[in-house]
Amino acid sequence: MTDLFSEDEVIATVTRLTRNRLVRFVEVDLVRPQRDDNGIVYRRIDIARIELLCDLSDDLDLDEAALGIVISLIDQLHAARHDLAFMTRAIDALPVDLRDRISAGMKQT
Amino acid sequence: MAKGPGMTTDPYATLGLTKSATADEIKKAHRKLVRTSHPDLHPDDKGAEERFKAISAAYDLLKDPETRARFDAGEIDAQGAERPQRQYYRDFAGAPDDRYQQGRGFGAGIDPSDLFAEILRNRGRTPGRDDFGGGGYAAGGADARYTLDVPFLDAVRGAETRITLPDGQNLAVKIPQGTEDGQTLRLRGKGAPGFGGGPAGDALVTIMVGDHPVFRRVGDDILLTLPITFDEAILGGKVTVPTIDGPVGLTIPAGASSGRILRLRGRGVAHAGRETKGDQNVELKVVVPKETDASLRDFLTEWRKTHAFDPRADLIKGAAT
Repeated sequence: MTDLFSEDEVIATVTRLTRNRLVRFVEVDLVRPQRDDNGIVYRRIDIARIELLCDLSDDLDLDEAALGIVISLIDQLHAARHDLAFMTRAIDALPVDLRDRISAGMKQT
Repeated sequence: MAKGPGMTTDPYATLGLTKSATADEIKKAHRKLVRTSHPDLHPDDKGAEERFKAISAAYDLLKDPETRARFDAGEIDAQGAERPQRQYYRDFAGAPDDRYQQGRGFGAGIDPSDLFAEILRNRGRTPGRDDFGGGGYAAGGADARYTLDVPFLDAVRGAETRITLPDGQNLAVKIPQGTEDGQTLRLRGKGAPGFGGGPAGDALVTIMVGDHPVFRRVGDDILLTLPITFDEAILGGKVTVPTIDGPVGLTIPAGASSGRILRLRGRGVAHAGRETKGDQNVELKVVVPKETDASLRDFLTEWRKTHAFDPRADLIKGAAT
């Protein structure tokens, strides 16, 4: 399984994507590909993100401004979820009495 | 492929519409469902992906007036619109090289000296072991893992037992009939408590089945080695054999050698809710007494002189080839 894709491969994978659209996504910083010796390359996360951007613009009729807002909120949501998961794991690893005190504290607030 | 609960073969029903829907109604219904079911807009909703797939497939079929007409005429079925597998953006959330990530730490609005914010900012986002992507448990509690040693017969017959958790609490565990070694039971809601009103995690209990001195298990069959006397082997006879459900009678045919396997049909492992049961296979093993009396010895000495029987004849021949 390759992990890096050329612009042509990305356009072939995401069927709804045109070259103009992809160029525009990169231009306005909605997608951030990587620079390689062979030029610009895309990763799997970029492809998944492009799929989502196409869903949002095609299915939900978002324009570019709305697209930027929504994707930024989704990114912030992921970051917050990630922080929460990290804290959950950290708390899980604590001794039982500490965990109990934390959950008691959470119930109070 | 199994169909999820949201998948019906009627694309109109999937979109909550009837055949008379206009193109505009189809578009609107689809847009509304995308909003409520897109996995990336609902990262915690585990059913979202299945629903979204069904919705997308239905919309693919109905958005084009030509394919819609062909479907209405019965020329193509709803299966034709299956989409290729895709990965969602949420599956990549928090990957170590995620350069779209924003708001590291808890960001503004929180006292910079706040202990947690400090820890979060300095930790470098845990590469590798991020099980968060698959729609994990942000608000739900974590799953707790346990292993449980279960005696052989309890696993085979099913049993109820309790495990004592590290915090001293007890957890009732029902071992289903026919549980196999290494099988994991999921006890819903018995894991760590959720946060902020989220559901509790599950307890995952891996069952380690112990050995039994007499019974062995091969799949759903039970294997047992049954010692018989040489007179039972020659003359045949009725003996009592233990099974996992108690002793049963078994007729040994005359002239049965060691290694011969007799099948007790339906005396093996059963599973709750399944009709078929395994068998018990009884392997015979001829055992001679340590002390042989004079009369038997005399008889066999005479018998040997007049009876040529060489069970090794084929073996010797076979070894030479």
